[in-house]
Amino acid sequence: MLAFLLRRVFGMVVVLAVVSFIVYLVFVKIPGGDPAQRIAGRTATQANIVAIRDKLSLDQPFYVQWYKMMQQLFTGKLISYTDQLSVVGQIWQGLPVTFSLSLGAAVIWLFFGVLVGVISAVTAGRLSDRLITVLALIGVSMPVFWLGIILRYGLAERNSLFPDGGYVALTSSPLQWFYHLLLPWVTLAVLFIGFYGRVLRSNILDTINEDYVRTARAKGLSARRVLIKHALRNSLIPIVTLFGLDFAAVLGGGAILTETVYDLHGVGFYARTAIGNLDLPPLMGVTLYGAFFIVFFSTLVDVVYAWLDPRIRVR
Amino acid sequence: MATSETGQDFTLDTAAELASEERGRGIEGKSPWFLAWRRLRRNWIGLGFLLIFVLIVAGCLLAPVYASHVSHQGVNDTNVGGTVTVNGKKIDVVSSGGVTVGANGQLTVKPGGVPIGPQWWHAGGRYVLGADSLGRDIATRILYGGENSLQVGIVSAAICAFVAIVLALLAGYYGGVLDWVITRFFDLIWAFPVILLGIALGTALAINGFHHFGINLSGSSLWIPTFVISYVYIPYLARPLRGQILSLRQTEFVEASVAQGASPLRIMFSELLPNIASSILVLFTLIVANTILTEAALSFLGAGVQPPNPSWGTLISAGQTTIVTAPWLSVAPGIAIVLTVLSLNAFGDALRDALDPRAKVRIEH
Amino acid sequence: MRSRKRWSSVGGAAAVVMALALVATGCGGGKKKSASTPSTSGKTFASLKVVWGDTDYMDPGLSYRLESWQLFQNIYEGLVGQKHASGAASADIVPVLAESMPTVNSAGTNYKFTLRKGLKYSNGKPIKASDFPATIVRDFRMNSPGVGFYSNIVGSDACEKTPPKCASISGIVADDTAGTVEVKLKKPQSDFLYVMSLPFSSPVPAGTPAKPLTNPPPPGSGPYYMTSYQPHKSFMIKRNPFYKKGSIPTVPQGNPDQVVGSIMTDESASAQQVISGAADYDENLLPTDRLAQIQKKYGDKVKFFTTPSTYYFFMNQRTPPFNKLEARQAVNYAIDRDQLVKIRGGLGRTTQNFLPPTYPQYKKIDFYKHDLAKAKQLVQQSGTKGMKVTVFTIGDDQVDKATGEYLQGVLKQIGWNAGIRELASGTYFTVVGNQATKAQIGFTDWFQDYPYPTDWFNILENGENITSVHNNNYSNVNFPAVNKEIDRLGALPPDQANSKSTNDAWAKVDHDLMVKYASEVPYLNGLLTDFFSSRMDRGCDVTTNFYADFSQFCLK
Repeated sequence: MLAFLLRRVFGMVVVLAVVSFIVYLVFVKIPGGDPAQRIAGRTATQANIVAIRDKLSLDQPFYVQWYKMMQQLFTGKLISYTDQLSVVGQIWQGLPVTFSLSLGAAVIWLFFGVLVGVISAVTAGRLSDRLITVLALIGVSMPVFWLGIILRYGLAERNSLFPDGGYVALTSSPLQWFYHLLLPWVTLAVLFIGFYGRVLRSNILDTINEDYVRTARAKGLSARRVLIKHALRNSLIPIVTLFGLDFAAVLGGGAILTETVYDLHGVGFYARTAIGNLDLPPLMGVTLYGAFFIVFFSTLVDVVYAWLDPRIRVR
Repeated sequence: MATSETGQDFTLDTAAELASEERGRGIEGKSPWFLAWRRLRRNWIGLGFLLIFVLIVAGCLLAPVYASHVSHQGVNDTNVGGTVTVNGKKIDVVSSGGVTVGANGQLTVKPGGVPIGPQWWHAGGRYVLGADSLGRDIATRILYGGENSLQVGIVSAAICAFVAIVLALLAGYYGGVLDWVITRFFDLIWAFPVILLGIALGTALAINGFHHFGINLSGSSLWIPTFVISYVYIPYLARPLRGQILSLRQTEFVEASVAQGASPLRIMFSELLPNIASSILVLFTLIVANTILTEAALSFLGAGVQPPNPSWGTLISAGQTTIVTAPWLSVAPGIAIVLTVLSLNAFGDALRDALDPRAKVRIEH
Repeated sequence: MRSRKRWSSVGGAAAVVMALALVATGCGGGKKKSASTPSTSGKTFASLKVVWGDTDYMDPGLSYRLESWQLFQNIYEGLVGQKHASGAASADIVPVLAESMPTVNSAGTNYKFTLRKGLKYSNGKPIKASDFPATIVRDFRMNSPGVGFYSNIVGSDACEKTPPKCASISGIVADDTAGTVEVKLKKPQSDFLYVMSLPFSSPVPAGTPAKPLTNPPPPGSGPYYMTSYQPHKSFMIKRNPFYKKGSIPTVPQGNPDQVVGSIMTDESASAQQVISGAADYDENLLPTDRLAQIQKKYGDKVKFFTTPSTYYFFMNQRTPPFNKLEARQAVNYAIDRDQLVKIRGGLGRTTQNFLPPTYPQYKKIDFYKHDLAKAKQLVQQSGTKGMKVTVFTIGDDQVDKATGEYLQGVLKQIGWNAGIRELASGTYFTVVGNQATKAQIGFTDWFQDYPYPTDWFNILENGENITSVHNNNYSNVNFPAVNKEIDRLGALPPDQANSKSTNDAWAKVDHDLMVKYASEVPYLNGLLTDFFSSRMDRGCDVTTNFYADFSQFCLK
């Protein structure tokens, strides 16, 4: 078990290192622009540009630059090219927003997704099932940013039913925090509810046809008991896997669209600003932050599975 | 975006009913493909959605032929100062404003700049869905935008499928080191949040284009978002296929072929590929739905289709600034996206049911 | 300075604009043209809550954005400053940290300032004469965008060559015991006192480290200081505890005891703050698509003001087709300036001048009529018909984007094969300012740094200041006779710098460049908005060169 764990963690570190290297290549090698010129500002002279290039060691070979950047990142000293602020500090500031958005949306989508999935599985073939399936399909087909724009316009700008974007810290006013996040939560959750509902429905229906369930019914257990005790529990396992990875993706910056539309200054918003400015240090920070969550959660899921099923460890 | 896991049943018939119908109709001697076709044929809802999708694609791809004639305006022709006759009345395409200087130097501004809304057919085909802030015809732009969005979406899905199939075959057949390397490659792509990776690549490439390895693409070329999007979806397609190939590899008939000395290529083509064909078909429709959504998201953020080429995503983005005075600018392209993706998803469901009503086609992690 | 747009999120054109406002409303009714300090003073209140646009720094040595400068006018004072008044009076220079206007030698090359006695920074340290040269040196060492303004000071060459090693400037002599600062110039400089009134020239204590100070920013020398600043989030301004009321009579003593600022980039959300009463003043531009709605409900709380800014299209004279006069004239005839104002949501006044209409050196040009036929003819005459022309513009600001696309459409109509390149605002000016890009024509704008024509013509239109990177003269305008005249008019001693003949000469430069040489395509001067909550008294809203002066705000 320990060996398995160590191997997976080692794999995780390697993947993160390669990810960071790729980000570096993408933003330095591909566009070929000169960051020194950009940082130097409007009235910079050649002397200024040379000084900046020296300070940021932009003349060194790119692997040296990458190594230096990694060093700075892990000691918290990495600063952005455009506004000279600490990257780690800015990400830290954006975390409460992204966490609030992701956690709240996750709770909503998990709850409603399971609810919807169970209802449509239990009433399979009937009107409620069909209705839910249609709605779920529509939900999965909507671009999340468009839904956000529509909701924000319809419920917050044309009238004042909801606050018009922005974030209020939990510590300053829990009520306002909740109120400001409602629309973003719903926007982010709709896609996943539809999706999880469909997945759960099909899992339940599959499980119901399994032999052991039929045996249980043959033994005289009530349909409801069968559903809850056997089918649901087994159908939920793949959902848990999915949820872990989706949550990690959303937490790691996948909510960038929702944050942009609702003006929530979280990590995704920070990433988008950095990309627009071709600002490499924040991008490096945000990408590693996001990759870390995804890799961490997927490793966690694997570890849990390995713990549950010893056969997997041997692989 | 989340991975999608296909399951059962969206059709009229539940699995059990379909299966029992099969037994009633007699299936001896008929190939699985014929049976699938027969099931699909009876699913008129699924076929209806396919028709919708085909109509949308045709309508958009043929836009250069007819759109300008109907709207009497080119796709990029601005008309800020023009007028249009609606039911006999002449109105400004984009409303005028003005600045008046008051008694004590106070300025009053009448904003202006509001484009007209959907005229439907009242203006003889002009501004059917309204105008944007530069007086351009929205309906025309949605059709041309659709051409770009669909082109990028479908082609990138095709490229993704090709690469994914090749990689899955190589990994699944050869196993060992090759498999390990290819799987790590998937992990690498997987580790990036899709949107971030797409935006990062799209933005970096849009600045100066791609001028390495003998390939020369300008920053505004449609190939750039196409390749970026195809790249990010490779693992979604390749992993489940690889899983299937791995298990197929162990089966007796494949072992037999290997023992007979058949070449790897032959085995891949005649034994492995046909058996994963139904998975490929089903997954492909899902990937196209996702690539269209991803292209919209990237273009919305400015990292996808570059101006001046319109795309559904850029149209939605441009409509944000006038969301209060002219909401249709953002609403209409979004509805186009929803219709397209919905019909694709619905047809994909029907296809999956037809190919194997009790299928366990899943995308694993 | 240029406006640097930000990502425009839902709700309106990005308006992170740096400009110095001029003509606005007077105080209350009637036309009080003189300094409005008397009518707004003495109306103190406890706390002012504001919503502000995003900015680059709150360090006066580095910040080059008007969001910051609008706050600095009460925090970081210079030896001299611009009067805290609206209208024409706002261009007047008054002594602030200096006790009186400097004595200038007859040649105009030697300025001597005497510091007021007993002034202290917000950290208790006394304001010393030697702080001024230390501040300029600090600016150089930080690669401040403002160092270009000091190139005429004797002894600045060493610092210009190797800025990080800048140690002192021989031309600035400070005597702490006498409390005097003497600045020696290489040649006379017509706008020198204006340069001295910019935040780059505001003294900070001599030992301040030569790196951007964020939280807290450097100590303030005026009636207020910034106690904290969270970039992109918030700031807090309180009264300078060591400022004795009345010690600087030329600045307002300050009405609010503190200013609580939150920074928002989304214009719709920030307007909402004022509407809901959570803030008293919104510095951001109101979202243009909600302007009509807001005006209808809160019309008396919205103020529009003209900014001393000009939006224009540059035309690169080093590349065809715009090396031909006919081609440049064609563009001037082809665009419809009224339509461009429409695209900006009505927030502009059309112009054909380079200088803003509020300048004494402005003489209205009314030469180009919107005439597509004539434009087509001129394109024909230039011999460049059918040539490929690429319009450059900013892509992430919807108004700039639409403006560029409009220009592309117009150029197509008059006979060129017009394409477009839309760039992110963060990189736009760097790309366009690089000669290697060979940008032919594109969007640009300019907001004054200070109200004198050298800020326009010397920086943007003088052929001698063309550089290969970070060029500001995007059109590469280079007419030797005009260059000479700009140099001459920029090197006058103070008594001639604002005379009638000098003003007329500047107006002629404007006319020559815009009409005779058709070197740019100016089309509008920008308008901006201030939005007040219901408890604010509009009679106290004074718009100086740095926009609304928060220290003069008062309650009803």
